[in-house]
Order: sequence, then structure tokens, then C-alpha cells
Amino acid sequence: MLRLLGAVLLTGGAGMMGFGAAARLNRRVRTLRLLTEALERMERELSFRLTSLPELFTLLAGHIAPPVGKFFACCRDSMSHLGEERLEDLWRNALAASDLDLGEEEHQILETLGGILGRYDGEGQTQALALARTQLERCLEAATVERDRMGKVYGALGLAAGIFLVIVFL
Amino acid sequence: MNRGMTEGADVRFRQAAALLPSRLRQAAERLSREQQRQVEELRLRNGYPITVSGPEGEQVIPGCEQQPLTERDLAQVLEIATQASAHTVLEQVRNGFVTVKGGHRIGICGSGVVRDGEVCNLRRLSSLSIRVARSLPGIAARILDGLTVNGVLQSTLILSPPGGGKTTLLRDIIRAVSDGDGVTPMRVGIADERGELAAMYDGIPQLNVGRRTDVLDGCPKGTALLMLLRGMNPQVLAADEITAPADCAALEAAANCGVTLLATAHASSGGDLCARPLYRHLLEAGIFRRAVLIQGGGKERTYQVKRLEGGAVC
Repeated sequence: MLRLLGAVLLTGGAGMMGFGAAARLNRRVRTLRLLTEALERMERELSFRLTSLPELFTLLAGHIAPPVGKFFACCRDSMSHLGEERLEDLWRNALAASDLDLGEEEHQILETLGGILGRYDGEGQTQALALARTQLERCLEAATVERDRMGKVYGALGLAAGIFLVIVFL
Repeated sequence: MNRGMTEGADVRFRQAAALLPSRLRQAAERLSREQQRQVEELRLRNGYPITVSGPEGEQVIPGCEQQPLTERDLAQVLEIATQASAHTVLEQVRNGFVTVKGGHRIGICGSGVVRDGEVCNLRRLSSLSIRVARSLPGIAARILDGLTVNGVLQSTLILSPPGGGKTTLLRDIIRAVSDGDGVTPMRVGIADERGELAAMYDGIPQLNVGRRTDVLDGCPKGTALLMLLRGMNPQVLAADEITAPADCAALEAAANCGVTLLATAHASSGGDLCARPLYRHLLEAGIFRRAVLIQGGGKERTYQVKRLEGGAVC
């Protein structure tokens, strides 16, 4: 009975690790999709309404689902520290504090964007947003391919590893 | 100053000081209450310590003598003032100033970026001047009688040299007419091109312009006057500093629709006004019935109401 329970736990644990890795791939795709959606909205707001950044952050915090919505809420809340820190730093801090689960490349794209937001005219900023969106869309495509290719593999590998360990220990 | 006015002055100073980076804000807030109330401008120059100017001239804020400002400090003031949204005020920056929350005006100096013969931005900031907004409710009371016939306001042009207090007086006349304070209450439309009259922020006037007042800010005056006329059915239309033929044409169109007009112009006397072709045409057309001449400054300031008849100031 104890052996059976150990076997189930071992298989389940290893399987969970595999499925966890697959879920991370899924999360990354979802985050990137939300980010591109948010940047597109920012572009539209800036080109038609020249919306101020605090208003933009409030809008996105309310309309974009977590974790990206949470990131913008963090940006909105940190605007009260403008006298102490520059927007660029506040944006970077919000990026670090938010659980976006992004890769190095995506982080770099967003950090570069933070250095441009609020500093140039509406047109300059919409161009920067469009560029960042295109780059993130490329990341999204790659992430989708990786998820489709590796998502099921990770789950299966986890389960297989669990079963293998059970066989070895038994 | 009565209690309400001193409290107002305290709040306005705090709002203006909040535009400074934290180290400078803390220094400004260490000024005594009395000194804070007297401050007319906060001046920041690259390479020099921050100063305040008031009735006793310009002096360095105590404790800041050994702290010369850097361009980064100046840029930070603009970042705070615009809430890190330079794109929302670029049109104003081209005119050399930005109006911010509370109606305070930040004058900007730097190197102009010129494109197609026009200044499109300023780079390498060299100095900033934060002018603390002034609101003097009640100053219109002493001249309202002269501006009305049977309690109804007549179209009025306010004249003074630059910095004479035209905008402050116009704002208080608007407030009085809009609230019915001493005159028959009327709906007022303000074409606030530079945002100095009502100082709109988040769609709310930061300075008291009365409760029956509609404000259209950020649009060229001529266009805004016509938009207000078409859309808001105003009984009174107000605009600060009439300077362009398009503004005059819009005022004329409004006058022909039976709307009472309130406006200001740079002029030191009635004769000065008549000598300028732009205004001569308005006077000849009989669009304005009264002129207010502002003379002197500070406590010496006087307001003189004149009747305008047949293109002449009487």
C-alpha cells in the first residue's frame, strides 16, 4: 500500500513539474498577447487624444487583464513619486516588481520603451510604441511556436520521468 | 488679507512648490508662512541656486545657497508639471510656457528647436520661472456698477500694459456674472486658449470662474469662440488677449448673435487702443460698450471704467 502511494506521489510530482513548465509557456504567450494589446491601445490613445500618461496607465490598469493590467496599475500608483524619481526609473521598477514572466529580450524591449514614453511628441511616442509592439509580436510568434511544440512534450516528459523513477525504485 | 485669501495663498504656494523636485520642495516649504504668501515667482536657473521673487525682489531660498541647479533639476520640474507627458503640453511649450494644475504658469527658457521656420520645442533648458497663480475674488465688485445697465452686463474690453492684472480682473468679472454676484446671472463661455483664465485640469477649472461657466481650453480663440457660440448657447463670451484678426472676426460674429462679450487687450490708454487698426475696427463696429483701464500695480492699482461710443473712448 505504502509503495503504491509512493509510486503515485512520484509520478504525480514529476508530472506536475512537467505540466508546470508547460503552463509557464502558456502564461508567457498570454502575457505577450496582453502586452501587444495594451501597446496598441496606447498608440491609439496617444495618436487621437494625446492622453497623458497617468490617464493612460489608469485606463490600461482597468481594461487589461492581469498580470499586464497589474503592471500598469503599478505604474499608475508610482506616478506620485515623480518628484523623487524619473518616469524611466519608475517604469523600470514597476517592470521588476510585476510578475510578468517574460524573457530577457522582452524585458529589454519594454525597458527601452520606458525611456521614450512621456519625453517626445505624440508622433514620436506612437512610433516607439509601434516598434515595441512589432518586436513583441515577433516574440509572441516565437513563444506560440515554442508552446505548441514543447507544451505537450514537457507534460509527457514529466509523467514519463515519474514513471521511470517508479520503475527504478521498485 | 482676509482669512480665506490667506488660506488660498497658502494652498497656491504649496501647489507651486509641489512642482519642484523633493530636495528643493523641502527647502521652499521651510520658508515662513508669511514669506510663502508673498511669493510671486519661483525662479530656477541652470548653474545657480533656486530663488523666490516677491514684493521685496528676488532672493535665494535659505539653505540652497551652495546648491546650484542642474539641467536635470529643471527637466525634472517639467516632468512633474506635465506628469511625464510632454506630448500634452508641446503646443504650449512652443509659446514659451506651460500652464499646470492650479493655474500656475511655468515660463521656459532654453535653446529653440526650429523646424520649417517655427519653434517646435525647446532643448537644453536654461531657466524656468514658476509664476504662482493669483485669484482675487471680489475685485470686480468695485467696477461692476459701471459695467452694467439695469443690472445687465455690457460688452467690456479690459486694457492694461502686460502684467497689469487684466486676466485676474477678467476672471473675477466672469465669476461675478456667472454666479450672479452683483449682476443678473448669465451663462458664460470662456475661450481659454492658453489655459490661464480657468486653468482647467482633468476637466475641472482650478480657478473660480463661477458655476454657470463653460470652458473650452487649448483651442485657438477665434475657433473656440465660434465653437462655444454654436454648441453651448452662451449669454456671455469671454476671451483673454485679443491679438489676431481671426479673434476679432469671431467676436464680431458673436456680437451679431446678441452675445455680451468680455475681452482683454494690451494697451496703456484709450488712445493707445484707438491707434491700433485691429482694435479700431472693433470699436467702430460698436462691439464693446465699456472699457476698463487698469493703472498702477500692487496696492496702488486702480480701475477706471470708460464708455465706448462711436469708436472713441469717452
